[in-house]
Amino acid sequence: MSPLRQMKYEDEEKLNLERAMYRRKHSLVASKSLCTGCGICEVACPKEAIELVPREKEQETREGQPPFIDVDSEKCNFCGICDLLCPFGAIEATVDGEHALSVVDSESFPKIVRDIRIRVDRCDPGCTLCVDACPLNIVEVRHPEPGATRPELVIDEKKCNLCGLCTELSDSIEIVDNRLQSKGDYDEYDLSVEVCPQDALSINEVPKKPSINVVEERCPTCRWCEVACPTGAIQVRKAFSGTIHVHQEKCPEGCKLCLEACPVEAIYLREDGKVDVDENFCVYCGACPKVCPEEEALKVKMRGILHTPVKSGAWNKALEKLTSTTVLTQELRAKSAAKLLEAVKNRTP
Amino acid sequence: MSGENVNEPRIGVFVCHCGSNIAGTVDVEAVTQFAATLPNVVYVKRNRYTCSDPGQEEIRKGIEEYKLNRVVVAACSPRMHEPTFRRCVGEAGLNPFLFEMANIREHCSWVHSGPGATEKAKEVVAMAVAKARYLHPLKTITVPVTRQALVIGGGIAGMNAALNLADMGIKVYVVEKRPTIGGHMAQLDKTFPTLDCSICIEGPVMVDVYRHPNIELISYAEVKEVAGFVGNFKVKVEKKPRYVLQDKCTGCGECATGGTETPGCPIEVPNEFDMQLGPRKAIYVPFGQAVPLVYTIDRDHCIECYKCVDACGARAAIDFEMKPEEIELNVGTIIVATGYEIYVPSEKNLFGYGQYDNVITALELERLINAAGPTGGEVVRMSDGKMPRRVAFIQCVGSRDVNLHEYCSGFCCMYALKNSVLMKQHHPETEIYIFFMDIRAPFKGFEEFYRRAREMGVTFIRGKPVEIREDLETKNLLLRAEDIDIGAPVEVEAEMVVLSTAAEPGPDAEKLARTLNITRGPDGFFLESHPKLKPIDTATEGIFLAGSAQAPKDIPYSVSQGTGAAARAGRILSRDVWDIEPIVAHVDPEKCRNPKAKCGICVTKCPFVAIQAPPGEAARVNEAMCHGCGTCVADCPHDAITQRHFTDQQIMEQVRAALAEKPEEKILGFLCNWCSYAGADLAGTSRFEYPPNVRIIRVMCSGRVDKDFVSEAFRLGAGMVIVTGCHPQDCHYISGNHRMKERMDIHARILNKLGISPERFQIHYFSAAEGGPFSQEMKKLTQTVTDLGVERIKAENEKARPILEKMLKRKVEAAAPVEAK
Repeated sequence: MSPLRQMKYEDEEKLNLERAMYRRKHSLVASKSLCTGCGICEVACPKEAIELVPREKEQETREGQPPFIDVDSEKCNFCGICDLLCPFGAIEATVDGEHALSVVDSESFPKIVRDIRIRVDRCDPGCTLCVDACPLNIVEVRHPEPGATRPELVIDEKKCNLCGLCTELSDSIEIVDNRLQSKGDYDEYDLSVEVCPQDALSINEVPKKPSINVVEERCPTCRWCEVACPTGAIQVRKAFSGTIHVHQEKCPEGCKLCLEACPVEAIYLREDGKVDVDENFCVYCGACPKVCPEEEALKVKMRGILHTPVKSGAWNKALEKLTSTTVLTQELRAKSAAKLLEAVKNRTP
Repeated sequence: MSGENVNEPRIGVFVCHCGSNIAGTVDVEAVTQFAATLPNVVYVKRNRYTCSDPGQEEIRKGIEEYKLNRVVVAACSPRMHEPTFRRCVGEAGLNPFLFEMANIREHCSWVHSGPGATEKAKEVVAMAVAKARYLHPLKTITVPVTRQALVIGGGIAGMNAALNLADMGIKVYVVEKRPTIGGHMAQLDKTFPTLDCSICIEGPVMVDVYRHPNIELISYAEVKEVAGFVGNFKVKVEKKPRYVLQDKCTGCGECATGGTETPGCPIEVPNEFDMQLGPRKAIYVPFGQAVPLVYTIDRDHCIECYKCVDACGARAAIDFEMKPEEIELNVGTIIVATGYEIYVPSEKNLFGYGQYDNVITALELERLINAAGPTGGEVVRMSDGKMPRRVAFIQCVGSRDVNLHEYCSGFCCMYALKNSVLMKQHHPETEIYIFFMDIRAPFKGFEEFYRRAREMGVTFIRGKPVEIREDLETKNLLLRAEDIDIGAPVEVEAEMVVLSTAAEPGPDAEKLARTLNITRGPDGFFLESHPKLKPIDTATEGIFLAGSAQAPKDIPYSVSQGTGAAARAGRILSRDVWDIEPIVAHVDPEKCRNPKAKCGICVTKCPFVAIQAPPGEAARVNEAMCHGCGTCVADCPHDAITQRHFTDQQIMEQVRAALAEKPEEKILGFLCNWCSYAGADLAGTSRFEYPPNVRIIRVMCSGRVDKDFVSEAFRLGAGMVIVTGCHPQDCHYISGNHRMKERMDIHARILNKLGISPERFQIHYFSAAEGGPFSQEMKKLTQTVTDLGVERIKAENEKARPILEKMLKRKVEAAAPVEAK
């Protein structure tokens, strides 16, 4: 048997795993800076290929430093489940250099739903509170120059006879429910405006909107941005639910290791010098108990994950491992109820 | 006992001239006259060729006219003609086991010269006569034959063996380790020298095996246990779970690739069948023409998403609850056709393999050049996916290399030529260089093919590259070699390098050898019973070899051997009962201590699990399972076991006859039949001379050699005693030589304490191929005896004798012949 052309190398920034075949190259890259050592991947990996290890093997490990992951190249089958489940987007699985997740394509595994709604029209000019609040620095806001404008398409519905010529010329115009609709604010309407046989289209110059960009795959949905926003321009639905308890009486005197380890700054120092959790922001990732020196002082339990619908044994198993059998049963029951409902619907036209 | 009066031996001695082979060195007349003087010898005769028809007629006549009841033929090695003469005396109405041979050719006339040869010949005859006096008639054992066969391995050799047997009307079970039959041949692109498409010609054979009403294919299964003996093997086979129901799977493949509405398996795994060069799914068939066309789930990689179950839908062929299944088979014969593995030089990084992207093995090239392979038949480079325009082949990687595999793998020259021709056909502009030591193209159509490759413009360079370097930028490979033919260094910059790596025994060969009780040669391949005359048989009766399990072979050779193995197996399976040589062990229940003392030593010593000693009962030998090594006989502390035809008494008499004259000058050797004795025969055949003071006693296995034989030899004043066996890992009785070594190591210490110099009792190992070393060693040992000197030896023996006599008391007392059934 020929040996696998498999490579594993590690540098200061990342751990790299590669499996090369003729005309197919699988790889897995784990970023050291993005990994929080929460251990979700370790639990979820179907092949038990991932293990949490002290971060700097050669140097003396600082107490309370979050661990990093090590991937066993013998066991890893490059399925990408770790990539999908990492709340912080620290792992990327690729096929031939492209980010590709065959488990999603084959509906073998869901994606975490990161429901982030942004309404830039509500943004106050110059406001960057969300950017400042984000503990992971993945929010970016761009305010336009004062006075800058952008073209906006105006559709005269009385004139439009839905000939569709404009939709052929521009990707940004479409016909929805027998109405012409503009998908957004773009500069390229000129031609469609001019060719419209009905003269139903015109351009109006309006003030330019700011833009907010969130790196979604790295967002654990902690909601700091939402809370910080005074106008409600960002709304985030938490993808993870669960419970967390700090038993302060068990905390060692002056210990702040969990506070330092928390990737989303959900742990804070109380006035009495003890740590506590603000559950508004906690994502229940489990990074804090990994560094806690006392076994009983911190209890975190994940209870649910918001995900795209999927029917898969692999997902059921991952969910059960990450949360509990009860949660899995609930989900399965909900699924079968939905199925039943659908069946009833189908029967009654 | 038969009607013959065995208590009053009437021995006839027939001395053979063997043309001038014996008569040219040995004074045959003198030997004949000497033989006439031996006790119980009533008739002597010499012949030019005793084995010839008139020679045999003389024996038959002698038996009739002189009422002979024992026959001794002094001629060649019993390994040569013992069966011939046994048949001959049998025809004259005498029990075939009342015959003994004196080897005065291989062990005498061919290795000695001068008067010493004649003297030795006389004593060798005396030894044979001494044994003959105590020979007993033996009845051949017959066992019933189960008319079913097992073939292990479904490659081209195994398939042919199975088909031939099945066509004879015999039920055949084919056990294949992998999910599909076809073996290595299925991986190849074209075959040499005809350039037939390999799978196109093999595919129909695979289907024939699957469809044949007399063949039951058990794929994805392994042989776990084998018990029993020729005609009556009980085999346990473990069928690994495929997690797909064989009777429901239609082979449609929707579970892997997905159907119109259902997605398939999401997991991609390197395909072993493609030498890990291309992907397969976690639910897979190794290749399109697989037989049986049943999918298998690779649970090592499966993430259990059950998408395959959805895709399979109403066919419901997938069962994740499947468990390993044990099947028990009763078969009469077993054919081992487990093939070879290709040597992968990754550990040693030979020629940069595993280190440089564009260095591949020939089997990897086969998969690349194959249209069904991972690249669709395009030979491209790993580094950039481009077609190489200059390719170098390096021959004998791992073969013909004393550090790895000494043997020549046989087919590498031809497949390298074949692949060169194919590449030239596909892209005539490709430059091809073959670095070789010798091109070996000896069979039908091979030389013509070699010429064809040369005519197509393949460049041949005699010499192995001494250096290979990778150009970091282009990933080309720079090869430096010395072209021996032109005597100048050459340098080639190749875009791809193909290593023609050795064929080596599979990783399971060792385990299987143990399961089947068959032996392997020093190269690790299964060992045949005789390299020339029994190339298909193993030392265990009823088990045969086919294909590359025995040694690397090309396709036609494997097919021939598979067919041959079917013939050898059919020879047994076509009979209702089968005869077994009765030279087995036998327990005297009167002497056995087990009923009283829970002894059971023999049970632990038997390499074949042929002895049972239930508490309170005497030990029993299952004669059909006993291979007749005699290890238990030698190890029984109460002399309760005897080996028929090699009884203690017979061997003791040989020892006494050998040491009757000038014992101090002599070396007495106990040689095992299969390796050492054959090695001594080879010394004869090769005419490697050695001094004539060596006396050889043949035993089936060195395990048979009793401590008492050695003690008796020293009691009689022997100068030196040697016990020789097969090399430690090569015992034809699995572990007989190990038992001998354990026993003799202890005995050596005792002899030492008694004052016998340690160099006077030695253990040696000779293979059947070591005629030269045997002769060399005999010379050295004789020198040792000479250096010690007769006086010292005598003194040592004198000192040890009283204790030796005490030790041997019970042997000497129990001199009455053992009754045989």
